[in-house]
Amino acid sequence: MGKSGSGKTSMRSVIFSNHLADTTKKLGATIEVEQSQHRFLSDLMLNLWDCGGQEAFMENYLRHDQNQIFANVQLLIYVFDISAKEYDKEKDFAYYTDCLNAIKEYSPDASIFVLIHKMDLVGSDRRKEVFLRKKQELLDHSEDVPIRVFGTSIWNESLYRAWSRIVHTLVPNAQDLTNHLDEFVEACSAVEAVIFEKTTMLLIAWSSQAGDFSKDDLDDDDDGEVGYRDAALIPGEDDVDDDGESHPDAPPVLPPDRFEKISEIIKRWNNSKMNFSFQNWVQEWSNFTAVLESLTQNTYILVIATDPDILPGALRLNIEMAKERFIALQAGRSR
Amino acid sequence: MQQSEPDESFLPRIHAVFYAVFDPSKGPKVAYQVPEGLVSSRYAVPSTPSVSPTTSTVFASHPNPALAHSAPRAPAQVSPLFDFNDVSEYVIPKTQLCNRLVICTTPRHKIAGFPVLLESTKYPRNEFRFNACFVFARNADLGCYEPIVRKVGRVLCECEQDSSFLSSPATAPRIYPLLEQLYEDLNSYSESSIPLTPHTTLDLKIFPFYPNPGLVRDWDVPVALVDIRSKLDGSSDVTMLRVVQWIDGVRCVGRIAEEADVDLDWVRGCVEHLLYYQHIMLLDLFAPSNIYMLTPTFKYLAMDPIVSSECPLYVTAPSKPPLPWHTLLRFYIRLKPGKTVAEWADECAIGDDVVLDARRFVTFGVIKGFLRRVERYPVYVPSPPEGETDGEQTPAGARSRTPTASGRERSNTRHSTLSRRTGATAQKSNLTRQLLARPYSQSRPRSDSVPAALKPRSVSPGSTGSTPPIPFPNPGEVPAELLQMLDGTHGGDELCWTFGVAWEDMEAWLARVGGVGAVPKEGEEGRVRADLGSVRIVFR
Amino acid sequence: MTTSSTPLIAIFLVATSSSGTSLVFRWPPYPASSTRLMRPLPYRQGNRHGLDGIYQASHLPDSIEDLQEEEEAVREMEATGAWADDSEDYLWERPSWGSEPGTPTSTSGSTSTRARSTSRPPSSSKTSSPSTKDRAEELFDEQAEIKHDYETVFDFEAEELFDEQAEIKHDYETVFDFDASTLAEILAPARELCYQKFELIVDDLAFVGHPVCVARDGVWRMDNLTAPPPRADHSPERERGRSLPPATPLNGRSGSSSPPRSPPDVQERTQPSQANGTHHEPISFFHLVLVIDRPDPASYHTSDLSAFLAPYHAQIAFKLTAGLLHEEARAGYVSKHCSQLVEMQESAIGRALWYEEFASEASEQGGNALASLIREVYEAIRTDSTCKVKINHIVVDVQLPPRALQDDWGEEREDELEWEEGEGFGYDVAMDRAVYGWVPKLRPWTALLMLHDGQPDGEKEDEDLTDEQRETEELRQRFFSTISPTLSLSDVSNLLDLDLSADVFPLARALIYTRKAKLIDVVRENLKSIYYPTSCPDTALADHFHAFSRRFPTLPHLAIILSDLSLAPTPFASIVPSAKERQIYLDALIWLLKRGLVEMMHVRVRVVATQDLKESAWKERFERAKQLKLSMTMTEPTESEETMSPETSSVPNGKGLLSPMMLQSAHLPVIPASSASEGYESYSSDMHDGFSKSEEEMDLSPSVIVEPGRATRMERRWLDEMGRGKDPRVVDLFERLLPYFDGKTTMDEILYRTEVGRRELREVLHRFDPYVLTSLHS
Repeated sequence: MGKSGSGKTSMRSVIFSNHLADTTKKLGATIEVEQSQHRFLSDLMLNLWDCGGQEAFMENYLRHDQNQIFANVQLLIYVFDISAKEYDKEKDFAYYTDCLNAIKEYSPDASIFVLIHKMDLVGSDRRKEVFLRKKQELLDHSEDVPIRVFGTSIWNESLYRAWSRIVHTLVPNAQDLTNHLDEFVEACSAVEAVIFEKTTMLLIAWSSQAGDFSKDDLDDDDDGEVGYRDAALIPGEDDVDDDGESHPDAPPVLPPDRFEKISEIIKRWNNSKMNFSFQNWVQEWSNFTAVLESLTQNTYILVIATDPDILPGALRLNIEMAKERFIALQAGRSR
Repeated sequence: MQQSEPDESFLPRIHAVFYAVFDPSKGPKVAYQVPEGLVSSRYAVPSTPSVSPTTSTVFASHPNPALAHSAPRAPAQVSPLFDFNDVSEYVIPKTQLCNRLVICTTPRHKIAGFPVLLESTKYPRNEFRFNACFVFARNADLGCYEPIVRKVGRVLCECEQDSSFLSSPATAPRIYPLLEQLYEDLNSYSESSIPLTPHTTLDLKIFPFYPNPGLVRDWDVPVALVDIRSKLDGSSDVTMLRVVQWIDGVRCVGRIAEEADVDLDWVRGCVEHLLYYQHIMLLDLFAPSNIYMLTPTFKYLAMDPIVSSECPLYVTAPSKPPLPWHTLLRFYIRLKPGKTVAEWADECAIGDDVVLDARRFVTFGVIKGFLRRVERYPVYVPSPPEGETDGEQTPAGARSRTPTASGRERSNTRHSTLSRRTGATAQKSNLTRQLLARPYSQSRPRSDSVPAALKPRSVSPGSTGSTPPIPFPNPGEVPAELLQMLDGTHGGDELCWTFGVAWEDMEAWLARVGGVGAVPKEGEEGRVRADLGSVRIVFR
Repeated sequence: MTTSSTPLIAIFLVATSSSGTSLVFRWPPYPASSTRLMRPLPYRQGNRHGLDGIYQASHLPDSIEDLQEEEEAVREMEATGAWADDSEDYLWERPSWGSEPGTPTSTSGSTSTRARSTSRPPSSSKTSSPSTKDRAEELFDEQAEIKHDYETVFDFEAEELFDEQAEIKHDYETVFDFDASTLAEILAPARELCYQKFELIVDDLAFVGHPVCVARDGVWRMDNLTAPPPRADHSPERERGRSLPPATPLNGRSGSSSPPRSPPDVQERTQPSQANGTHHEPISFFHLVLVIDRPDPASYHTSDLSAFLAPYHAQIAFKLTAGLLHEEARAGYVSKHCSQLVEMQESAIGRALWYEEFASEASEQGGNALASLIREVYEAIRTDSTCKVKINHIVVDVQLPPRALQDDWGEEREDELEWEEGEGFGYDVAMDRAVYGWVPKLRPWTALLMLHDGQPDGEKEDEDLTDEQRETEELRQRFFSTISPTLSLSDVSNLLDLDLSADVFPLARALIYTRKAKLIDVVRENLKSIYYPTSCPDTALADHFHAFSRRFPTLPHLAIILSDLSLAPTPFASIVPSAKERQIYLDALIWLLKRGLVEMMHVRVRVVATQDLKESAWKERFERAKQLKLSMTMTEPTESEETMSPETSSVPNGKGLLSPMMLQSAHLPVIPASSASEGYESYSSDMHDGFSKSEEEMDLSPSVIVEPGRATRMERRWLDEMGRGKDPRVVDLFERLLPYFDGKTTMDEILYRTEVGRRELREVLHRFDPYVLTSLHS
């Protein structure tokens, strides 16, 4: 939910409908609620309600259809437009608190995410403090309700980061997935391995030997910061070069937002592909090797090894062998 | 039986007209409505109406703010018809419903609209949604309004595209007077012409809706229910002008085609057209040999003041004093199955001492619906009928399987047997022709138009559509095609028309087919005959 | 022009559960509406009559140039006479989003629209901007170098697989050219529109239903189905009230009254598709929608769409919804089956089944009860037959009343319709009418004719019946075994000694309603009544001939019987050669009645005041005026009372006493009308009865006494005059019969109401011959 024009539909279309940031300009307003279902990891049905933010609609949600809208919510994503006019803010917050109350009333167990959106409109220098200020405001407005705040923009990977976290909370057994992944990384002595969901390219499990940032990175506090530590405001296309060419002599220290960038790249392929679907991608650079393979029928795995001796072939072999296990794991979940 | 003149007052009344738009920040809202306050909104919309800069691009900050959000400011006495929020999902619907005619219903009202969605980058959020809706009573029949609603939607849409008539603050306020005029004009004059932009005018006229006309058969007689000529003017269709001259309640369609010298199809077309507008009504061909009987509605109409007052004037010549209804009633009651109009006329001494136009008399009953024609359906029944198989033996049976084969050769054999009696009966039938009025034989269709009469369109299904044109048979000969049609589904009129003879001749033929004398038995002259040997006539 | 088959083209079930509103089931799998014209086809002979007036009228050509090209085409066609197959470009196609008459710009936006409204990968490929495409290809080359052959192969397979899936998804998600989900949301109206008739028209489609939603406190209740729910309070402060799913134990007998217990676990929007068997997620709204292809207006003369749709709502949607709601409130019936359907659909998609396969699978026996119910109903309606569907233990009888299709509404007379009072469907008269209107009014003197031989209603569920069920059952059995075309309903009630209106009528109505029997006039054993062929031109005549000769080999050909019957109105008996054959002829008659080939003709009687009657009546009055005192005292009270109570037969006797003395004064010299009037005036002036100056007394031309029952004083006098000098017994009878000599009442009715014997009736008619006017028609 969120005020009209705060970018709900845009981000949804970017994540789930493989839109590109620039095509979202074309989108029209959302009339009432747009319900969409997204199969996630074969047996997980994401039921996404994109609620039009116009006042009339909001009034409806809050006063009339409360038990329709707010019952049985597991996860509320409230989107704020950082660029919103001052005098709109108050109403915005009013609606926000109303929503929180409604949620508290109808589905108390729902977890609540707040996205401070359109961060790109804020100068990269001021970005962090703006974000923090806003975040504080929000915490004030949302009384005792526990919320997690992200700064996002459809123009860079921050969106993927936030959504990865969001989805992460939904994946029932993310933890043991991660554990398995750890073993796998161990096994093929790679630096790290990541599992993406295929259609959305959202990161669902992640494991790394490199200690450059740790599990508790998933904790949202510094997440906000991480999201903007170096979120260069560059049009999407260039990210690829970032990853591809400009890194050859980069130090083993990997940019923290690499996964999200990769997500975007793969997305582009999926978009641009005309008559075949992406299978795998092997990339060797002087200092590290990256192998992206489809793991199960709805996930990719990305394995990165810095050790030049490890041949991509080996990695791919390992992946092939590991597949059954992960498939079994997924199947196991659904059983 | 609703052959009454189309009455404008039958058109449903417009209870309200309103114009709703999608406000990028406020969502769906009623921008203007006439009369005001009839469409309420569940939530008192924040009273500063659309003056916020964000929206001003699309929504004129109205010179007269009272126009905007009239719901909350509605005068106290008018109670709203319905709540906009209940129906907003149909007034400003999801994209898939846009640019379609959408009629939704509230507990007491119907709301007809044509939601339009314009997509263009010139709008905030790339789109402009609006809908001009008409509100009617729930049980209103909107048949005739649907085109109107569509057109209003379309025209406004085009204006918006050309000159952003709706979205630009300059012209937007003109929507209110527009609605006002729609409301007033359509309700009072059921037509309207409103200039919108220098280039476009919104011209509307409500045409009352009628069901499609029924089947027109060549032997149907159109009777005018209104003065058609008065409704025609120079601009009318030429053929129509021609045909109308001949609609006199006596001539049947086929004959009109002849005498007006117009192609039969075109005449049919014209007649259907007139039927559609309920200017005429189709009757059966009137002939002295016809039979009529009362219908159940008689019990209501017999004492109906309108009927009893109209009838005398209708059936008696203007010069003569009209007969009292009571007398006419007796006459009507005397019309019974098994009694031709001729017999009936003698019985009631019509023509001799009673001054009465028998045709108009009968016609009146039929038009009013308390009298109906009893049609003859000849059926060929081979005698003696033996149980199981006689079905197959009837031409009917044969026909239904193999259209012509068996029927033909049977008819041939029959000819040989029949031709003996020909001489006598020929004279006789000639005689009868002298004696009796012969509507058919005069109006014998040109041979080329006979097959037209035989086509499935005019004859009930499965008839001999394939038969070649029938040369006019000399009355002595029984045309082979006749036998194909003796299955009880072809009425006397149809047969007579198809073969272009009067019923008397037809009866003579049938008698011969049936193998009995065409001469009625003693005391049966001119009386109705049902038993013609192996041809039985079923009246119904 | 009436189309015999109904325009019902689909039945939807829309339900809202925690996972949103969705089109849970539709039957048939791929509904389609008939083709329309966007503008009238130029005149040509042939089957033009099927075309649809509304669309001819309403669908204007898009732009001027293609209007011109149309005209071009027409002229060309006229020239070549190539009519038959060129009508494609006259056909109207539903505006599928994107190609929109009137809004050219929409095409540009349409891609994005589609991509948004349906999150479907294939369409999205279009939306990628060229720049990114190049980039991607670049990357692709990059990877191509190191790509192995088997991978390319692999790719292809993957691609095909992928497409197949997309296809199937599309197969499930598209109805007409709507998005199933969008359609579902459209068909889920606001709370305020629930619990009442739902009628939405979109271009050529009409959606009819009776949506119902859970109460605000989250409990399903079987309360008044038609009472609009309490309106949402306009006060900004929003009402509290924990939303609770209804208590829905699978086999729970717990009525709606049972206290709702909070759900074991809070429903999640993202729940595993394998819902565990015991718990199914409750729905908060459901709507059984009938999709109707708006018919050719020629097929309903009222041309009032709402009236046309009313029976669909009343007979199908409303009834079924009522049943479903009850079971939902009691045992979560709908919830259960909906979630089951959702699962089935999930697995079907998993197994890559097409919707068709899924739908038929679900609606088969042993599939989903609700689905098969929908299918059953649909097919029954399509074939215009009745069907009994079971919702748990509730049996719902669904059918479209015969008259919903053939539209003699106009000709219907109120007094011939059965009107159920208190069957409150609100202010929707059309609906009341639709439910019961078509059942003809039951009269004690009419009889039932079973249309199908053998035990009607034969299905004996072996489920244990309760006592009163059992006894009603055996009552019905007795009823069925008794009824016969030769017994009037009142006879039946006497025989079984049941109460006519309380027991017999309902049973009879049920029989008629389920089209097991039809109402006819009692067939008299002696076949004395007159029957005449019905007017309907019957194309299936040949078949009747066959059937008849097969059924009655010994009788003459049907055509002969009909022609004998129809030559002139005669008692049916007249065609019976000998008494011993009467029985078989009786059977034949019943056979004919069943097929509606003949109908009974009725004699109806009117009373006429002839001229000389009026004269003598006038004279009599003149005389009476002379003996003012006498007549005053004697007539005033009676006259006044005459007008009040017409049926009192004692009165004429009272007058009968007078008659002798009047007879003496009967033959005076006839007074010329003029002087008569003067004399009359002079007398009447001092006779203070208000209306004596009336013209009607003066005009002596014969006239019909419209309502002898409520005779005016004047008519009363004439009636008395008729009776004068006749045998008091006959006069007495005459007076008893009088109220029914209104030209409307049939003999049967008269005999029933005034327990007068036929013979006596005949005698009366004979004696009063100059004054009675009998008409003969059905």
